[in-house]
Amino acid sequence: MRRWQDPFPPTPKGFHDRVEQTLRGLEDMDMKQNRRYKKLTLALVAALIALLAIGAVAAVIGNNQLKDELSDAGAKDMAERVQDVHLADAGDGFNFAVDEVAWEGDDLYISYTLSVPEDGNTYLVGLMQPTINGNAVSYRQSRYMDDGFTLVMGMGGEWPATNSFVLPVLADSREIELKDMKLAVNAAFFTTDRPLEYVPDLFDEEGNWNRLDLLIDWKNGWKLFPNADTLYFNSKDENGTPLIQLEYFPEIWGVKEAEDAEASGHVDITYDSQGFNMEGLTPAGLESTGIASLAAERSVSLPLNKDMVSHDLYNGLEENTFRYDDMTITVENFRMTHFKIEAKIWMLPDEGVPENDGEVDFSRFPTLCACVNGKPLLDVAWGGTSTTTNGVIAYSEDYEYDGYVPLGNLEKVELVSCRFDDETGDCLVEDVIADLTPILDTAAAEEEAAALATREAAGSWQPGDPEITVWATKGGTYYHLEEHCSGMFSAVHWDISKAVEAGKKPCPVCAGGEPAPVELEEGEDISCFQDG
Amino acid sequence: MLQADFTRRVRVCERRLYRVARTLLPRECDCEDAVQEALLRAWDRLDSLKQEEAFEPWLIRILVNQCKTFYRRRPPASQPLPEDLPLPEPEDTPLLDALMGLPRKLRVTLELHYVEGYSVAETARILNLPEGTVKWRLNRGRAALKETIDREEART
Repeated sequence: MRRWQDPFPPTPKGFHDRVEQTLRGLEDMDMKQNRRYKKLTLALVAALIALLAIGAVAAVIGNNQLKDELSDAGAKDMAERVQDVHLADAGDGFNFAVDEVAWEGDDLYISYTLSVPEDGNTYLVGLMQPTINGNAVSYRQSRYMDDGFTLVMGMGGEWPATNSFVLPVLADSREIELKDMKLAVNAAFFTTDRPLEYVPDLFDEEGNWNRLDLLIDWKNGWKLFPNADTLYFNSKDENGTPLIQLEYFPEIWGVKEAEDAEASGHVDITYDSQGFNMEGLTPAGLESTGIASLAAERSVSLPLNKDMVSHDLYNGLEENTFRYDDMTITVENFRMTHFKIEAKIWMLPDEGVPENDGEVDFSRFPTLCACVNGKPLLDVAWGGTSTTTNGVIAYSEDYEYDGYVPLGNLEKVELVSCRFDDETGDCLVEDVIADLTPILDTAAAEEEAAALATREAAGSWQPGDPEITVWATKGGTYYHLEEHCSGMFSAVHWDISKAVEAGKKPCPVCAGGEPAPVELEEGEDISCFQDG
Repeated sequence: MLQADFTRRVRVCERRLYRVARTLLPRECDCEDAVQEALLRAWDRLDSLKQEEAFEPWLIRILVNQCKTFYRRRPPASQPLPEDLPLPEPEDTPLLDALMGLPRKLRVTLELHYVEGYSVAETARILNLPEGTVKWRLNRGRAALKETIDREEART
């Protein structure tokens, strides 16, 4: 064989950088694992210092977005498991409140509220990357994975001055094995003298780029905001809040990496330009773009107890092989929560995978879709690979519903074949292939229901109610249902009536209590961690 | 295989990874995404590598599969580019131009065999094809390539 001389152009820098970045990411993953315990200790100290530094952590009445949406979707059981938090860091009109927390499986959902002064000015507001026990965690700034680019929101002036959002946080699976965790979330508020202008017609009816040059300077390195006098945006959330993408600002990432390198001696944060595993922007990074100046930073830190969250709703299937259209369909890695469905689906026709001129003939395979309570889920991220299993080429569909919107009560979940209407684009169900409805473990569900009832009873106990045995320390603020809640030691049994008589309140973590709406003195902890 | 070894081996074949990705995906940004995804998958599934000496073809195969996923997931943009989009400087690369003008399945087969130097059997394993199919593609690809180059030479 005579080999050709390499006819390709030199390897582009972008390609080389991406390879290096990915390899560095592997190193970071390993280093993270090694440093976990050391970091945990440091993180707890840092979290305590952060709490002391927050002079005015006030409990506020915020939104109940998660609870409301779950209830509206019919997922009342899950709605009851949403934890009220209502912790805020507020001042000078710049308010950041964490309202609720819901957790299923690996995924944590936080509803939060931001507000800016109603002084006629427009502010840019960005959520910095959250941390759990001091470790940065992935998050989405908006509800949909594909919109996970780093965003700042335009608020105030002609735009809404107060807004509530749901933040999905993807906790590292190693972290969630820990019983007690500290979640820290930070928001940064910026002033800008640039007006914001909506560009709804970025694409014309044929899908051509129409006014792209308003948003992106594609002639000079694909940077955003070529016109420094105006900040153009083409995306709004459901409340009309402008969402401004920042992913093309290299300055932001440069500053972020430099800060991390200085702080830890190595670059711990990597940036994925596709928005997956997105790492956060920094105030300094945004300021360096010249479009905004930092006006205020607000931070909320809260304890998370694994007991306060729900288990995986459903993991695996009793039967995972189905027959349809003379093919065998196998559903692997099935996992379902009230927020999403994940699966890998294999389809193997009886006659083998048809090939057309050496390529897989994909027309043989149906389009699959999950259908919840009769409604097909449209927002699916799916791709496919052909691979070899036991010497046979199979065709697989990676199938995932990433909407992060409540899916309802999951009374009926089906795998269906579907097609899209040519005119309306609607997803039309053709055939039901399999019933994937979760079968809950009855004993576990009953146990959980009993625990929930006890928790509710303890949280709202009044004199005259049946006596409950609780745990408490002599000088502690709270009474608990768990002997070692949040690492508490030296707790003893109390009758709940005695505990209430002694002025103790139900623990917000384990006994259904809510944090008291009080101004805390400097140095006072907001959690029950100090009870022990 | 240790992570340091994995990193070293990837760096050795970076150029090869680029050429394969570029053969299958016309957009540089997609090549970057595909190689990143392929590397992460490879690292994740390292235990499926039975023989360490087969690391390169194993990784190339993952990359080829990843590229297939990309071009299925993202069909080529049909919309015209803005009229004043700056055109790249024309380069005298007749072989590359001719290669990239071939159907994808022919060009990746030619690229793996003639540029990367994989044998017919290795190419067949990477592409998950029978050896006969690879030979047929090489034959047909060479003919198509010659035809294109001859036509271009006659024109100029």
